[in-house]
Amino acid sequence: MAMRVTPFLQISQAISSIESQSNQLNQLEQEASTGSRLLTPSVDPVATVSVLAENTQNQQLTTYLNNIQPAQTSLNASVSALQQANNIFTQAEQIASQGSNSTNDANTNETLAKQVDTLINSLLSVANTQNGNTYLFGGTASNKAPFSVASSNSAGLPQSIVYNGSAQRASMSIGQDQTVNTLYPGSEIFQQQTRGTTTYQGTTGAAVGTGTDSATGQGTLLVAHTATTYQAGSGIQPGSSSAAADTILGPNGSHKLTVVDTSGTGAGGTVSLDGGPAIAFTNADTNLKVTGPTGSVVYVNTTAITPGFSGSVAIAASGTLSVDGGATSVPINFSSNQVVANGSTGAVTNVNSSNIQSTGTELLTYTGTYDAFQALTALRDDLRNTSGLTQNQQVQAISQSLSELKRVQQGITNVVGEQSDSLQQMQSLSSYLSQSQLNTQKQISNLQAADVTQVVVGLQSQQNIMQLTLATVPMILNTSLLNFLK
Amino acid sequence: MLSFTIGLSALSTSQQALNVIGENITNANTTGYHQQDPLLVEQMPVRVGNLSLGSGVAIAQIERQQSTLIDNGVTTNTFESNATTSALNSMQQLQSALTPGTGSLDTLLNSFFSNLQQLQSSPNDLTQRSVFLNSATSLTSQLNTLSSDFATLGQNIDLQANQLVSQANALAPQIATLNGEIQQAEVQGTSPNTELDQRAQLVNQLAAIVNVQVVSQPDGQVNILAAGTPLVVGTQANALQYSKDTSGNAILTQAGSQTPLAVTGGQLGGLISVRNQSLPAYVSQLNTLAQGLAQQLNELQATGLGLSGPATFLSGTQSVSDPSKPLANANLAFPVQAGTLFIGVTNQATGQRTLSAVQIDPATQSLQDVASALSGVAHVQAVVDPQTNTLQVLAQPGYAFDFAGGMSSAPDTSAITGTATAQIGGTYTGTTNDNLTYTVQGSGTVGVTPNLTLQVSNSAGGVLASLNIGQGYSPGSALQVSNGVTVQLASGTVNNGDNFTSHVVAQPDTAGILSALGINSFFTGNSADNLAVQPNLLNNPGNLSASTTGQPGDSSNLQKMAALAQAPTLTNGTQTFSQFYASMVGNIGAQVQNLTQLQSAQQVVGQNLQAQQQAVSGVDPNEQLVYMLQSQNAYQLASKYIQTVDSVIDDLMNLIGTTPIN
Repeated sequence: MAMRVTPFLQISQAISSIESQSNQLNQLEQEASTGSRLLTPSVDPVATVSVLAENTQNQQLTTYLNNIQPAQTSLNASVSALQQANNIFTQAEQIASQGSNSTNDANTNETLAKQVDTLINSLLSVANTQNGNTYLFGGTASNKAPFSVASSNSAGLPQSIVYNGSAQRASMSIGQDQTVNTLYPGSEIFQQQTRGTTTYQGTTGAAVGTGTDSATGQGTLLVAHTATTYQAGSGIQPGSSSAAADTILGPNGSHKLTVVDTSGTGAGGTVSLDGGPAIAFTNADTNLKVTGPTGSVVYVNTTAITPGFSGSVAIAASGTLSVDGGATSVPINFSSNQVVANGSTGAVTNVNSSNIQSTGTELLTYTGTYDAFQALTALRDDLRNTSGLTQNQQVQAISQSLSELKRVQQGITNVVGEQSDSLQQMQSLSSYLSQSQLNTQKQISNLQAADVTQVVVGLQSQQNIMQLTLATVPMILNTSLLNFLK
Repeated sequence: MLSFTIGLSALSTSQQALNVIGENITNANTTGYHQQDPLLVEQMPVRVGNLSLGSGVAIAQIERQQSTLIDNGVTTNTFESNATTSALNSMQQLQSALTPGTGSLDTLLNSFFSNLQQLQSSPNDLTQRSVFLNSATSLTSQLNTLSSDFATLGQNIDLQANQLVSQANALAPQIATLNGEIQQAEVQGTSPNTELDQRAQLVNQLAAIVNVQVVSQPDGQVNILAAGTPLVVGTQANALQYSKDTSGNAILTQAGSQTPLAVTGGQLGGLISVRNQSLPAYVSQLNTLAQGLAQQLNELQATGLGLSGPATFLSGTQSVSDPSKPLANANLAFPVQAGTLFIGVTNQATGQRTLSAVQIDPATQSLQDVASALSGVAHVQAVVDPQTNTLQVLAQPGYAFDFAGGMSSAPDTSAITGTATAQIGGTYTGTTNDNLTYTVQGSGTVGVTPNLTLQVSNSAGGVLASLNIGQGYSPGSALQVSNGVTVQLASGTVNNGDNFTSHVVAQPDTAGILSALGINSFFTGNSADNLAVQPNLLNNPGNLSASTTGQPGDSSNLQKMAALAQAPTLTNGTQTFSQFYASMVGNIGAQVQNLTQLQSAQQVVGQNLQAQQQAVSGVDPNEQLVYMLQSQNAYQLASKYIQTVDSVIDDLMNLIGTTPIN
């Protein structure tokens, strides 16, 4: 038997159908108006989770891209500042090569020195370049000027410039597990520590020791005389000025005095130092100056010459070494390595003292340890000859500066290279990230965006069904036996 | 006259049948109405001689068209679909709170980490710091809002459940009363069809509230088991009660009892399952997220340095229940494990920083013990605030402290027998803590003596570096050890075997004590409902620990914080914060989707059952019209019959000349 169907049932089913169709219509309308099919997570929980993950990824990529921009700005500023520094050193090198011309007079050198003064100020301002409020060359100490003038010379010009920044590079992340160094410590750029061999300019015979120095920049080694002693037998004695004015130095036998007693009684004869010109003496000379072939000098007392003595007398001349202008000194032990410390800084210089022959001043250049500012101030001071060097020494010193300037410039160029490399990497990272971002956004759109065609067709078909339902309901109600009863 | 009686019975039967038809037609649209059919029977015959003459027709009873099987099916479907619907409604509310969109937690979490990331480009910019901290505030506000939404949902469920229980308790006595009336009618032999309809209606209303079982009794009464407990027994009605058990779970009991009932259906079934299972699960997940964020960021904030450098005073924000109980039993929201806390103490005059290790063991140490251990570090004092049971750490005047790890700036070199002094520098970039030992090999003068070596080994005995400090080494220049650590020896002498040690610390707090006690924390609070950004940070964004060195351009700690965005810190180290939240959203979506599908399936079953019920019990007006014609016809026939009988009697009376009386 067929199931009985009552109008009550038909109506309640029609109502239920209308409800569910309205619901679907509403869903489609919302999809059409929002453009998204994931109106609630329950529509497609798996896609919702994927969209959330992709959104996070998208945001992350946006952030990385946002971070790349200030990093690029900072590094670009840094590179262009360093290029300026590079130019400064190119100019300084030109000045140095002009200055190393031995025909220059003091005026020419003064003009050059004035140009260097300008360069020093320019370099200081470059080293303190700011990008916004951030100092580019202070490392992580980015809020204060990294370089400042610590002391000035008598003319009030910068003498020493010190670094006040941090030794740590500042970095930021520009990708997952990728960071870029944005702020370099100025000490790394302008204060190099690729120590080379210390050079000695002077005639004392002091040379580089076997140890490694810790002093930096330029310095002087003061080689002083303490006492001269003569081999016994000849009766010759140090003169009264000997301690203060003898210029020879060396262990016993390194110098010799030739005594010829022409009188045979010790009353008079000649003495010569190291085969130098013979000097006549009498037994009344208490302070006779004897000059050797290289200009070295001893003062002798010839009052007690052994009568009839003719021959060579071995000399021992002791002395001291000092790298702090004589404030502290160590006795020369004529060894291959003697540590001479600067009393005020503690920095040490290792001297090979075995061949020291005479007193004097050695101009020391601790190569590779110059900082950029010192290189310039040294050049300036050499041009003005503040150390009182001989012209020859001055020209040598200026030439020495030139090679230091080149070394500093090379250091700066290296950093420029490193930073340009970072910039290039960021450029390619940036396009990679942009591409990833595009893909992520596509993926989000694929997962989330409502299929417009499907929505429109769906809307149309739902509307048709709804209309059909609505049209059917009255027809059900019209079908009644009442219509046929009279 | 038998003939008249027969005719009369037909007339009255037709009339009564018309009444029933009328009742059916008028109730055709009444919910719960069961079609009634008059059951016509022959009247008992009259024996005349050897004849047995029929005596007409009668309505034996008015039958109520119903199928107990289908009706029970409808009842079952009612409580099942109501459970699904009410659970679905509640879950949809939960879902809408978690639906991704503008201002939703996922968006805020993303922008929180995004701002954190961007702060690296100018870590000392106070405005950018504020922007980041504001995004942190938005995040905590949304966590608070969600937590409060969840709590409100719980309260609404309680309110609704209480109303439903009142309704059920009102329905039960009505069913009991109807039971009595039906029993009485059954005894009297009348058909209590209306009462039966009413009772069935009430039972279905009850089934919409709670799962019921209908047990029919022979006397027409039904006993109702609601959630397994007898709610109606004959004419006796009991009551239900909605309350909370000791652990805060919602329970339905029989009034006066404490035994929870198995509520599996009806709106109460749906509500209680959401209230006891789904809702607490999401609250707990939200708290896990909030606590994870708090613990990780608090730890990093505590172990970094703000723009003003080391602190002179810090006060904890997390309290213990009892400062003399071991930390493990002191009800701390964040766990503490056995480990080491490194505290750096800086002499503000010299800038020299000394790193000291403090051992923490939560199984044996109370807060008081931790305070004492910290006070053992030179120039630092720690006390327990007796008002709040929190830890306070302060430095002696002229000193400041931090928990940023790293290294001591000047190690204890008293064991060096020569004249040289050593200094440690650089920034440790390793990821583990270690105690490095520096041993001199050979005797002589630093920078001079050939083959003078400083060997650096880690605590496991592995040699990290063998550094030349003899000839070729420029005294006082920094030598790279490993992982960013440098060592320098000043000019002087050293002797073979001279050694010193120095900690290198990447994880200054392996015990997690700083986040547990809320020392220099990023957030205050410890769950989704009370998490907030530390007011100290909001008032002074400079206090945000962006660095581990205190330098304005150092963003190393920010980088660690930002790395949390991609660090799988939750769900046993498998999910990031975003992934955890996404799976929360995915889960709720899947639950709502399942419930929606279940609801659709139950609706289809419900519609089928309704169709079946209507097939048996529904009123078809057309059918009734046919019956009406039938009854009308029967009435007309009976009238004709009586007229005929009357006419026969008339004829007879005319024969005897009598005027019939009729």
